[in-house]
Formats: sequence, C-alpha cells, structure tokens
Amino acid sequence: MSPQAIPFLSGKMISRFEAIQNCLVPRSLTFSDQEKKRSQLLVNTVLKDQDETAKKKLAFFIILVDITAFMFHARLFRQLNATKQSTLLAKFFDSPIPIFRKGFWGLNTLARLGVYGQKELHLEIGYKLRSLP
Amino acid sequence: MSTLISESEHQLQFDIVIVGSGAGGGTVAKELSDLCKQGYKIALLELGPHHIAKDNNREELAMAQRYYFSGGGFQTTTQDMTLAFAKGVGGSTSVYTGVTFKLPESAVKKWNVPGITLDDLNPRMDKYLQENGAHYESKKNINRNNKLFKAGCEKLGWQVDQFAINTRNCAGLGTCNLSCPIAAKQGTAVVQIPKAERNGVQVIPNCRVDRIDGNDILATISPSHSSQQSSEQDEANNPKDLAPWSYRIKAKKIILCAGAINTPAILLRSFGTNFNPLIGRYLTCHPAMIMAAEHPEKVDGTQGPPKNYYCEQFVESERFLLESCMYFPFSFSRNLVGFGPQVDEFVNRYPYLQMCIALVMDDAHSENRVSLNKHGEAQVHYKIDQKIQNSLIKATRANAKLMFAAGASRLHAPGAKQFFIHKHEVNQLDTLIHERYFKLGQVSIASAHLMGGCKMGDSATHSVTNSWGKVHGQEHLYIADGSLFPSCSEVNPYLTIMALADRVAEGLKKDLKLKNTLTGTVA
Repeated sequence: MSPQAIPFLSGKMISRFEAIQNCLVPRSLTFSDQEKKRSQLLVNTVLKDQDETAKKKLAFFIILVDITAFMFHARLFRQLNATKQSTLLAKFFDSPIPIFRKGFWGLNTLARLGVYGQKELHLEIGYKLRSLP
Repeated sequence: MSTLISESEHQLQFDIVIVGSGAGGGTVAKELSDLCKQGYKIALLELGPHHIAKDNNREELAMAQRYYFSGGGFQTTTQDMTLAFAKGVGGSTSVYTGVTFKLPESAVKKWNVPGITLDDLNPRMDKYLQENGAHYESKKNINRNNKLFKAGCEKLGWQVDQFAINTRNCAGLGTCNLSCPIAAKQGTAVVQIPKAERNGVQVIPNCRVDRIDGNDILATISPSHSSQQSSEQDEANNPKDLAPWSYRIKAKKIILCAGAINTPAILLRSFGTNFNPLIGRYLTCHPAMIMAAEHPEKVDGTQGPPKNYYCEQFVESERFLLESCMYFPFSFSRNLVGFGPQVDEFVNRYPYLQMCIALVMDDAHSENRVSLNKHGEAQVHYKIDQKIQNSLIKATRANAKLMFAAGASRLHAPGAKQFFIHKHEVNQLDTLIHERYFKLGQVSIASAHLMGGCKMGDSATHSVTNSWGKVHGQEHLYIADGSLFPSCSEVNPYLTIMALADRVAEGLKKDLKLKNTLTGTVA
C-alpha cells in the first residue's frame, strides 16, 4: 500500500484525534461506535484530496498536542482530566504565536467536521431539508 | 473527432476555445454561439464534470466535495482565510445564492478604465437581469431569518434594501450554496450554456488546461470519478470521441474564463512571471465573516430563499456591506470561535438562529496575488491588513446591534471577549467586540467573491488586458471573467462578470470581422 493510500485517521492517530475531538466538541463523547466510524470516515474523506503538506501539518499538530501534554504533565493528552485538557488546548487557541492559532483552527475545524458533518445528527439539532416538489 | 498525433497526445482543432464555464465562460459561449452558424467551431472547456441536477442530494459535505475546489476549504498561504469557488459546468454560478447586483458607479469610477462606463455596462447588465429571470422575491416567500434582518435595520434607522435574485420556479429548498437540485437557480449551466450547445458549441467537461503554447492549448481530459454519477452523467462527462487523454487543442482565438484564481494560474504556467509581472496581482475578495444570534422563537432560516436583504449603511463610511445569510450545520459551526460545551449548546439552537454576514470592500494591493506552488497549481497570497481587520470588527459590532434590535436574546461574535454576548450587554458592544480580541488564525474569515489578478487597463505597464479583455501583446488571447476587475466590485460580482464577458464577446466578433474583411474569408 502506498503512503498516500493510508487514511489520515488510522492506527494511533485515531485515539489521539478522538481525545482532542472529545474536548473540542464534547458531543462526540457520547458517540456510538457507528457514529465514531462515521466521524473518522468524514475526516478521512475530506482530507483524502487535500495536499500532502496540509495533512502533514495537521498530523504534526496532533502529535504536538501530545508532546506539550507530556512536557507540562508527564502524560499523554488523552490521559489528562477534562480541565487540564481544556487548559492545554486553550493555550494553542489563544496563543500569541499565529502558527499555533492556525494549527488549532485546522484541528478544531476537523473535529467539528466529524461531528456536525454527520447528516444523521442534523435532525437532532433541528436542521431538516425541505421536501423536493 | 480527435486525431491521435502521437502515443502521448491527441489533437483537436477549433476556431475559438473558451476555458471555463462560469459567469464569464458561459456568457461568452452563448454570445459567440451564433458564429457556429457561419461555420465557426467553438469549444467550451471545463475543469469539472457536467453535474446533473437530479443527482444532487443536498447533503452538505458530499455536495461541497462535489461542487467546490478543495471541498470549499481552499486556504490562502497564510491560512487565515478560506476561499470558496466552484468547479463543474456552470462554475460558481452553480453554487451562488442568485443574488443579483448591478455594478455601482463608485466602483466604475475607482476602476478608471477608459471605455468601461455605466453607459456601456448598464444595457449589458439589464440584458442578463432579464435573461436570468432576476426579480424581487414575493414577500410571502421571504423567511423569518431575512425578515429579522430587515426589522433590525429598520429599528436602527439603517437603510435596508431587497436583493434581486435570479430564480425561476424556486421551491424554497434553501440549499442554493450546494447547487439547486431542481435547476431553479439561473446559472450559466441552466441558461446560457444550453443555448450555446443548441447553437453548436461543444462542451468538454473534465478538461484541465495545463498551459497555452502559442495557439495551442495543452490539456488533459480525466475520467469521471464520482461513484454517485448516473449513466446519463457518465455519458455527458465522457463523450465517445473524447477519451481521457492528453490533448493539444488548436485554436485561432482563446478566451480564458477560469476565474480569478485559475486564469492567472494558466497564464503563469504558460508565460512565466516575466511576460507581464502584473499577472496574478491585485487580487481582491470581499473578506467576510458570518455571525449568528439566538431568538426566543424559531427562525427556521433554512426554509425558503436564503438571502433577500442587504444594508449599505456603512459602505461609504466604513467599507463594509451587511447581508442576511444562512449556513449549513458544519459550515456554521466552523465559524464559531472557541471550543467546548458552549459550541454544542449554540449549535443545538440551530433552528432558533438568525445569521448575518459582513463583507469588506478591500483595496487592491499588488502583494495580494495568485502564484504557482511547486506542483504548478495556484496558491493565493492575501494579507488581511489592519484596515480590513478594523472594518471586520466594526461590521461585527454593526451586525450585533442589528441582531439585538431584531429581538435576539444572545449572540456569538467573532473577535469578542466572550463566547456569548447577551441582550443586556448591548450597550457594551464597543468594548466586548474589540481589536484586542481579534486574532488572525482564530477567527474564521472566508471569501466567495474572487476578483482581479488580470486587471484590465490601457497599457501593458499598468494592466494585463485592454478594456475589451484582449491580453496585451497577444492578438489571439482574451480574458473574460472576474480576474479582469481592477479592484473589487463592492457588490456580489456575477452580473458584472457577465456584462464584461458580453463586452469581450463583442470585441472578439469585431476582431474576427476585421480579420475576415482583410483576408476576405470566413471561418
């Protein structure tokens, strides 16, 4: 299998991403296995045709979150409690360094994509399509 | 029928080839199509597929992937703005909301291009207003989201006007930005291109123009990839005589209409940066931010035509335009600044949300430009300078005032001190929405109005084309799309693009007539 054929969310990247997603969009904490699969599929589908540099930056940023967690708390991000997770991500969100804010924005967008991109959840939030004539 | 000239290349021959099928290309194709009766062979090349309306299932992400470049998430190199532009027959006219504006006199004056006057453009714009069925939506079809926008403006004493929109037999499905499944919206795929095809223009979808080599276009036709496409669509995408392959398409006249991003990119791939250093430069885009406010009663903004009203109150003084708008769940959510439970809480109130957008009239700067990345694809450099940021902040405050005046109980504003601003805080908007909280990369800025990059003018020193869209120094090469704009149009641009394309078609016909008179020939 060529490196390009490997989905963005696969292997350890899934648990890393989902831990961050749970903090950014808490609705995902209650996801069933099926909803988790849908979330992964949406992220992988949207990223499939994105350029490799953008994907590498996103992957790097996800790993950076773990590295930062380890630096401050000697634990991986997913092993932190919810308060510490939020505090850590807020540092990126509100960083004085633009590149960290932009990395966070990309990750936050991806997390929301996996949740609010699911058409099956749209009815729950009150979005419904008008019937075709 | 194509001719195989080598194992690696087929050859096609036309008199006129139009590249791109949006507001510019579709219009030029229709306007030139009467030449087919005189024996001219005309082709319309389109990078994307020939979408079939009935295959549109109105799902946000699936349709965004199908219709938009990068699924609607094309980012500038500094990654602080997202650009939305479409692919497929009809180009971005497939995904606009049908908002129809005539170019204002103030923009024409700023352009200052000899020959480009309202006297020249108005009859052309009027022609397309009629052709596209532009009209004011009946009040009974206007939804509460739009009515709230109007009510807010009126309560504040701000000027508010209704858009003309270009639909016919609209069923109010509300998914215009994902294209229209019943073809009610009158884009070029619905109006101009079918007329052009009936007159003999050959539409070639899935055709990527790599570069221009003299009078030849080097292009690649791709197979269709969509798994959802019907056999009818497959046939439309892959006419039997145009198999996926590399093509050398010979043309006496070439008209680039690939839009403000891809037209400069084709020119840069073809001529490099030395031919005319202005290629790709002076890109403008009406940087925009959306915001939402919660009302005690349901708003249901997704039902009915999404956009009906705008407010010009601040165009002169602060350089921004306010419009009503509606975004789908994911697109809406990605505009929320912050994270955590409050995001879920706000999205859960989706049916109760009023939405507005603010568009900034950005100045044309040389450094805002299209260039090529290492793969030869377009990349966009755009600096959101302090002036734009200031306008966005003031526009956010104005939208907040408008929404509270309309009865909102709380709202979320980008560039604000806190996630929610409540009604009782309305008098503190100037301090709660402030430049100290506005951080690039944190707020979501987007653009769907891409203009400039091949600006027209009177000389090669100051422009890429003349006022008839002919590229300086290239007798056979024309441009007819939004890239011609010397600066922003100050309004939604499609009608202006059509008027300019109409003018380019007229100029090209005159050039052909002159040539034929001199040589005593027809095509």
